[in-house]
Amino acid sequence: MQDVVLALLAKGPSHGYELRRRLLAALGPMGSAFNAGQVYVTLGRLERAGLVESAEVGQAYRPDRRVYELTAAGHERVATWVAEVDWPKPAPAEFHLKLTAVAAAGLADPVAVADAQRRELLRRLRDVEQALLEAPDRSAAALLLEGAVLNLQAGIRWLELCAEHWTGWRQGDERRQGNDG
Amino acid sequence: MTGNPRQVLATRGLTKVYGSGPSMVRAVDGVDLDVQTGEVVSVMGPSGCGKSTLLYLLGGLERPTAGEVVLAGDRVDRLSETRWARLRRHAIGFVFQAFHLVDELTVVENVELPALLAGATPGKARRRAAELVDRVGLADRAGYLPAQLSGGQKQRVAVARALVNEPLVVLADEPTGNLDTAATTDVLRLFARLRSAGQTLVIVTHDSRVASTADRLMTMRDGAIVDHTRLERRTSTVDDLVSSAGLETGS
Amino acid sequence: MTGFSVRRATRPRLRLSGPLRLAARLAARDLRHRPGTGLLVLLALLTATTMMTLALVVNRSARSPWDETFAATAGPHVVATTFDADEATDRAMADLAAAPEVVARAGPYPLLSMPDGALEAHGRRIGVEVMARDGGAAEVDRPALVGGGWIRDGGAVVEESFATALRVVVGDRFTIAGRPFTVAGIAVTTSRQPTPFYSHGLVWTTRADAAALAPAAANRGAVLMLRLADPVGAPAFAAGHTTLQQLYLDDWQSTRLDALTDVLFALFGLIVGAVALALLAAASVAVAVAGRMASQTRRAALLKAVGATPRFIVTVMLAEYVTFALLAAGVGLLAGTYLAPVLAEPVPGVLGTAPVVLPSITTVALVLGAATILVGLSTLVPTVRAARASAVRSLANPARSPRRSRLAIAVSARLPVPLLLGLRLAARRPGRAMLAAAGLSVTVAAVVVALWMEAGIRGDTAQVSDALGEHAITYDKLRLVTYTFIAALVALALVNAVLVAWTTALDNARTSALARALGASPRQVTSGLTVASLLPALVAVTVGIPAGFAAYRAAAAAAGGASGSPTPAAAGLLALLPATLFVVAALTTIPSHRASRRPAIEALRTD
Repeated sequence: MQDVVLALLAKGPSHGYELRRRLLAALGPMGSAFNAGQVYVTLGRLERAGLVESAEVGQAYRPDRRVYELTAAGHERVATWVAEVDWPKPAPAEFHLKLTAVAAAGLADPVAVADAQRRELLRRLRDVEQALLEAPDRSAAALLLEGAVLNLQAGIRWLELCAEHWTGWRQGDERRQGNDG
Repeated sequence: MTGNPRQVLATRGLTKVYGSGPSMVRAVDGVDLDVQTGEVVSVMGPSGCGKSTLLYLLGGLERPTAGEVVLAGDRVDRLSETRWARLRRHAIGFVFQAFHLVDELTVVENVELPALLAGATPGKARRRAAELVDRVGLADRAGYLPAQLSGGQKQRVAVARALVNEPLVVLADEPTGNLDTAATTDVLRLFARLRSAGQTLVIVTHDSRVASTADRLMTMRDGAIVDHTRLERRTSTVDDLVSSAGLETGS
Repeated sequence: MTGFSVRRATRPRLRLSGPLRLAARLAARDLRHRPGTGLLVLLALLTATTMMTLALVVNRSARSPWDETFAATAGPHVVATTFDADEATDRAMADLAAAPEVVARAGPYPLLSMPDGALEAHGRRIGVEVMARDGGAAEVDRPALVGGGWIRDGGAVVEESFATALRVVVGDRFTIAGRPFTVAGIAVTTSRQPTPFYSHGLVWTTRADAAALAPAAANRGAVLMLRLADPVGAPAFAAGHTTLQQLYLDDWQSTRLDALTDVLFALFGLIVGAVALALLAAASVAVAVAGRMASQTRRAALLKAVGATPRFIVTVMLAEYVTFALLAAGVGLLAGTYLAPVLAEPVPGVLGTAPVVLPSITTVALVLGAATILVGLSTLVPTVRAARASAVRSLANPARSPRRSRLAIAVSARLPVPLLLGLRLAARRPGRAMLAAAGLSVTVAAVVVALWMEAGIRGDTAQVSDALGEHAITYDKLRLVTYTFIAALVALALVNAVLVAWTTALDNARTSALARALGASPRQVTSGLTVASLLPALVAVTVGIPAGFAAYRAAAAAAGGASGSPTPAAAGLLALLPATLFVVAALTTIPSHRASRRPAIEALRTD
């Protein structure tokens, strides 16, 4: 969540209110899970961590009237996050958020991000396969490794779908840009 | 293109187009690739992306609309069917998703077929076939008919058949497409053994398990190569591997 | 009063409309999909039924002209002939005439055997027999005039077949031993065999003219003609009264047989042709059906899935074939009836030609029945098999698995690639190979029979032409029959060969594509497919030629002793071997070539 908010701010400073709107728009059907309070709590935490700074505009103490902006540290953090290929456990929701944020903020090509993650999983799969071939038949290790294989396969398959989906989005975007231009 | 002695197979701008006008399909769209001796290259992609067509173009079963294919330093994309047939006798071995074994021939008779077609004497063909059947671990089923074999065993026979004429490269089209997990493991084990023996392999697949065993992995989408990775081996403990895959080890 | 009504349980009725409609739709679609096979099978059946009709119709109509003439001319049941009349023969003839079985007699009439070349007409010289007759009508043997009038002094009547051979008409002049005559009339008789079976023709004259010719005659004999109370007993009568060596007794049955030899010969040809064509048509049908087996099995499975019983499926499928058969039979009946007069011989020496006979009820029944049984039998086994196959298995894996022949596999390994492929491909479907061989064998055997018949005709014609100095026109129609039947047979065999080649190529699409993927060149594959079709041809020729010999010998023996007909030229028969192989090879190359040029990947793709 924190990273997503940071990513949305990477495009440029914005009101808290505006930020919330952007987030809900980007999340689509998943947006209903997030309420206003969560966004402001996150912003507060980010400020305390020094990744975000805010300035008051107009009426001072209403959170939706503050303008938030990324600090230099904040920008660094976003860049690291985009390039990160660490595969967290409840993957799909968060990774989808990442791709959405990246696309909305124009930080990188979501297809490339998905492909990069996929490559990492393939490398891991290769290592697991290698270990599996060397593991004795019907050992606990073999069983666990088989489980790992299946998990990684599932992840890779889903990442392929993501790449396909975002390729379509990119083509649509190009067409839209072409029409505008 | 310089003649690189270690380069078995290469393509430049390989294109295959079906139909014309509004119903035109670009099955393969300007693909450049190269395969070195002893490499295992895998081409991944969703169904309909053109990877099978790419493989058929490499093996001469399809003619390209444009571009070049170079096999062992010679251009082969414009060869006649007859010349291709002769080429396939000694340079290329095929493994198909549907196995395509001859139903009324035994295992060893199936394996020796390419040797006979290449003009080997029956004795020599039979000896070589028996040797390969043994190598793929089916010596005790040499006299069985395909109907009596499991899917994995059938594919192993197909691999043995592909190797009988000592080809420069083995082209495999979705080799585990019709197999279950256990059979897939068997075939992957076999491929690993082939790799360590120095056989050049090009595998087309949508199964990530199979693709990840390659040295180099290419991703195809809509007829074009969109990604190209080298997969190196990294050693890790079982625990690390398992947890990195997202499974808890309970420790 | 009770106010409730009992709902009577209604037995669920089998709704036939669903499966029936589906069956009809599938059959129609199948036919549209492969109209070529349907047409070829129809052609095969058509030729067979036409031949069958011809044989039956000609059989019925051929004998009637002679029989009618016999009745009209009060033909003799027994003819006693001597070429050297003396007291002994006169006495014997008197005894014969007085026999109790005899109810009517005519003669004895003087019979003069004139020397060779005694008769001169239109610049040709030929031998002749002269019979003296009375002016009025006799009790037995009243030659029927087909032109002109009866004998008068100086006016002779020429026997009809002789007149045709001589090409003389009423009013022509000719001489016998220098004595001038005019053709007073032309008449037919059933007292003897017609020319050209006798090298001497017959001429009737008055007793006075005969007496004048007698000094110039080589032999002076006599003829006595008798009618018996019991015509059937004529052979027995003739056998019983043969006492004198120089007195020949002929019964009307053998005369009739001799007179009809031509026709019977032709009939024999037609019957052999009809049987051969029927067998060939059956073989063609079987091959065509086998070629469609995959779609048939799938059709059966679909029908079963909709709820049809195996019996229903068999009935429906057979109905489709039987419809074909009935259609072919109908058209064949019409064609045969139309063609019969064209081929019917004007039987020499009798009145009129064979009448245009409409096929009798028996004929129609025979032809329809034969066609139905033929088609039914050749399609029954595969249809039943298709209907009884497990629906699930059929839908999942429609093709019947090929046969494994260890011998073929072992032998072919040592052969060059085209022979390797050909032998293995042929061995996959031994049933079809045997059918193909059987069909071709029948053709080859029939062609051998035809060639032998042709040689026989030529032999007889040679004999006759020596006597008359020209070919007797009698045999032209016979030749026509022979050639027609050879042509039909060959055409059908070609159809069969193409069918076999086509089904072979289709059935082996995957295997030949695989062979190409594994390193066989397209030319090797084409050759292989051709060889696969040639192997049955080889068997056919090996079996067919001796079978043809045997068939002809057997038939000749059955017809009453081999007439010592000359064997057909050895060269002709030897040519049959390479000719058959060449034609089969040429025909089968086309579908084989097309099959081997289709992109291999089409057959090997899985998506």
